Amino acid sequence: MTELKRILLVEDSRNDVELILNALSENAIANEVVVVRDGEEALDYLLRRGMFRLRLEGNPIAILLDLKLPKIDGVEVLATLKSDSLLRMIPVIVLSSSQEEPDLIRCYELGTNAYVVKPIDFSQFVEVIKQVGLFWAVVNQPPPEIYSSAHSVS
Amino acid sequence: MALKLKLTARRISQAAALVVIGVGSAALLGWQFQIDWLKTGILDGTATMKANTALCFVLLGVALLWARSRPNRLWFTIWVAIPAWIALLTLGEYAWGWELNIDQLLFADQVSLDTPHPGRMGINTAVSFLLSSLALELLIWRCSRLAQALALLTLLICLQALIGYGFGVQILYHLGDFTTSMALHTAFSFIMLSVSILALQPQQGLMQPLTAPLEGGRLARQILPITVLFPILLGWLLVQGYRFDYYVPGFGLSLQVALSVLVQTGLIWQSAKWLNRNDLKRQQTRADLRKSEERYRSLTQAIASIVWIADAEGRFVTEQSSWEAYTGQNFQVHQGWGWVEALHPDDRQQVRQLWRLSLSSQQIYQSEGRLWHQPTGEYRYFEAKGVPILESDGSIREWVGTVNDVHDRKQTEAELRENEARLNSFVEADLVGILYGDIYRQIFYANDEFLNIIGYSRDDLQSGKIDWVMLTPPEYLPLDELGISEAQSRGACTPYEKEYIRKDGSRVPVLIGYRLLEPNREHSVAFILNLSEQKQAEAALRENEARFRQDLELRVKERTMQLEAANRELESFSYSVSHDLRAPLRHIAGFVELLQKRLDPASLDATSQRYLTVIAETTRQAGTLIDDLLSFSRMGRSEMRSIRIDMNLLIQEVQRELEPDLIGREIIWQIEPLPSIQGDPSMLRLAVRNLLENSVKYTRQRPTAEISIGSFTQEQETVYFVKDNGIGFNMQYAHKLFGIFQRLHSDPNYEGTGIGLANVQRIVHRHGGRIWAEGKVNQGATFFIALPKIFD
Repeated sequence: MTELKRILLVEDSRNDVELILNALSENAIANEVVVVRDGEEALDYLLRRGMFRLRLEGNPIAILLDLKLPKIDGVEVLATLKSDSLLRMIPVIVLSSSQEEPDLIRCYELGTNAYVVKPIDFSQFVEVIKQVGLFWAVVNQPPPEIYSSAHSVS
Repeated sequence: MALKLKLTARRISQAAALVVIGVGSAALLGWQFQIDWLKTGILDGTATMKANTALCFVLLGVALLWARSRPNRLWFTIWVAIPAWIALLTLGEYAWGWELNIDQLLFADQVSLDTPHPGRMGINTAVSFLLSSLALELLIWRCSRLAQALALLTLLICLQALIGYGFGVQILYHLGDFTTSMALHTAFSFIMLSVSILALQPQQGLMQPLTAPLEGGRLARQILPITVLFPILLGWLLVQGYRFDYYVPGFGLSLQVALSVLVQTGLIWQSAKWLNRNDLKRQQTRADLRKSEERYRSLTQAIASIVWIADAEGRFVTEQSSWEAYTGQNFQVHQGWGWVEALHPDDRQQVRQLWRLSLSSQQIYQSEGRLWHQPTGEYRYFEAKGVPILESDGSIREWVGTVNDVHDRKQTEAELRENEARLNSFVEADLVGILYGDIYRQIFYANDEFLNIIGYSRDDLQSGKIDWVMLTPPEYLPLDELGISEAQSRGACTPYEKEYIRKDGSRVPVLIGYRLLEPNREHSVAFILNLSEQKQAEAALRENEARFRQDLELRVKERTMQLEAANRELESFSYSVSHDLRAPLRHIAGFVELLQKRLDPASLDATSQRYLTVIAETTRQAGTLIDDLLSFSRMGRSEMRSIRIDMNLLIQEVQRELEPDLIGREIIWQIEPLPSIQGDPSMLRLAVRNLLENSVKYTRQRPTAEISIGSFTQEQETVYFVKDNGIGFNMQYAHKLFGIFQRLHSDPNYEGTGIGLANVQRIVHRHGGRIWAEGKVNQGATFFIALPKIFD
């Protein structure tokens, strides 16, 4: 349980990472945030392979997923996750600049748990991140650990 | 009859004359050779025929024979004058006692009881000769009546003498002692002479009623002998009775009267009966004639033909009423040859010729031509016919004929000919195949086109080598049966397509239709259309079409691909814009905020503070611009729904959404009840929102804003309008209002991206509507959107 309540943030933009972290800390959400910079890294992390093959067991309580990512983009990552019998349990919150209908439809079809548009106005942005963090890291009850650690065996 | 009578009469006359000559000559011989019985005429008689008398008989007898051959009148008169003068001189001797010595000039005679003057003829004889000579002379001068009267008188005188001999009454032939008795054969010769005179010109003068070939003449001829002979015979019998003293004279007279009454009554009774019978016959004949005439008259009225009667020379001599009724020519005009004028000028010559030919040849007349018809005022075709009516001697008495109006028939015939010619020209034009045949298999006739279709020659057809069953592929026979049974019930079949087997074995597609002919509907007339070319053309067309369709599909596919590619590009562009443009803006905004928080507000001078504010504000504006652009682009691409929208509710919802912007504003809303419309709710909501936002925005400077919303309907569309009392616009730039990024106001008070109205226009256009605006600088603006009306 020492490592619990981690949040996986998949975001290629450093600026965004900084702003999100800033918003989270400003709202006193102290959960550890693991940041990966593209889709490949995100999958490596979750499947404990590549540079993350040695990481400790356990899955994050939520994944904040940007859609526009280098290498493997957000939609593909989402599709891979939701087609995996164990990883699909992890709540995924899509954080996107796009409010385009096709994006929304695609993501919900693939089974995203939430879709949040990043507002341009910073105060609004901070407010949104605060609410997301509070809900998913604090209010929401994550799936039981037994399922999320199954990949450690393999 | 009349001729026969005439001949008989002449023969009688001739015979009588010869008898007279014979008796005269015999008497002369008697005188010469002293043969007494020749002189007296009877064996025991005493009165002799004197030599003069005998000579006169011979002269007159010859004159009678001569008279028949149209003698020279002078010689004849001289000849006849001889006995006349003898008679006259004799009479002179008696009257005045002259002694002229003419009595015994030829032969000597002696005084006897019968003759005080030897050789002189009696007074009655002389008178008779005078009368007879005169009668002959008159005959020559054609005074028949007088001549015959004289002959009759002679007859009477001599008959008296003859009766005297017969009855034994001397006074009748021996007038007295002073004169010579008339001998028996003298009296007889005078009777013969008179009969001869009377019979010489039997049809003239007094004889005419007797010899007339009429009923009266016949009756007279039958009765006359009885009326003459009976009294003579009766008288003779009675006289014989007296002579032998069988009865007293009174008895004889009464017997004569009774017998006369009986015989005359009998004659009258017979005559009456005979006359009655004839009269009855005549009346009947007259009735028949009248009937026949009436029949003829009604016939001429009943038949439409003109009936005409012309004389032997071809002239109309009586009024032709039916001719007048037809041609309008009255008798004054049509009489003679005037009728020719009613003919058509071109026909006159020919008709006249034909008529003349018939007149001269006495053959039945027949002609045709055109005759003026007064009632219709036109020349009409006619056919005329005439027959000659002959007299008993073979000459033509008159012509009777008819003229028939055959105009309608001629015209019908002409039309028929024309129709037939038209039909034939159609059949022979070989536009379509045509055949006459029957429903079993035969072909009676086919035109060239049909032969052309089936590839056979006319010889093949005429030799009976082909029939339509053999020309038809077996699988088409049921179709033919169907067509025939349809034609048998309806008269004609619906044309249908079939095939024929050509002579060369190939098949030819045709369209066939036929009609079955009355009354049995066994014979047909059919048309056959060669469909080969059409079928080929159809096939080519189908091929072309398929190729074209293929081509088109290919092109559509290509285009669709291009379009899809373009769309994808556009989408990725929009995507990039939303992501790549929004992200940096967000970052600027974020970091400026963070920077502001880090800086001590006290140490920040006013200028630096303003810079930061400008950066934040500009960033925000850029964000709005991007959002608007994306929404505009979305409007063009998104799917449209179409439902019925209550515009009143829509306006209320938009008003509610705008409430935050209205804080601190004084706005008078005037919203009329609005009709519903068909459309996409979210798009229309955006449009209405943009319009209302505009009105709110551009009335900001007014102490009291007035915004009114209303509508009116036109034939095809409902027009909604939003009117405000804002700053308005110059109509000069009205066309720029709806262009993207076009802004008419640079005033910083009226912020905007220049996309709102462009978006509204795009939405209205996608709904098939129109948008326009009216305004004046500082006097407000009105925006109209017209959308297709809902038709319930």
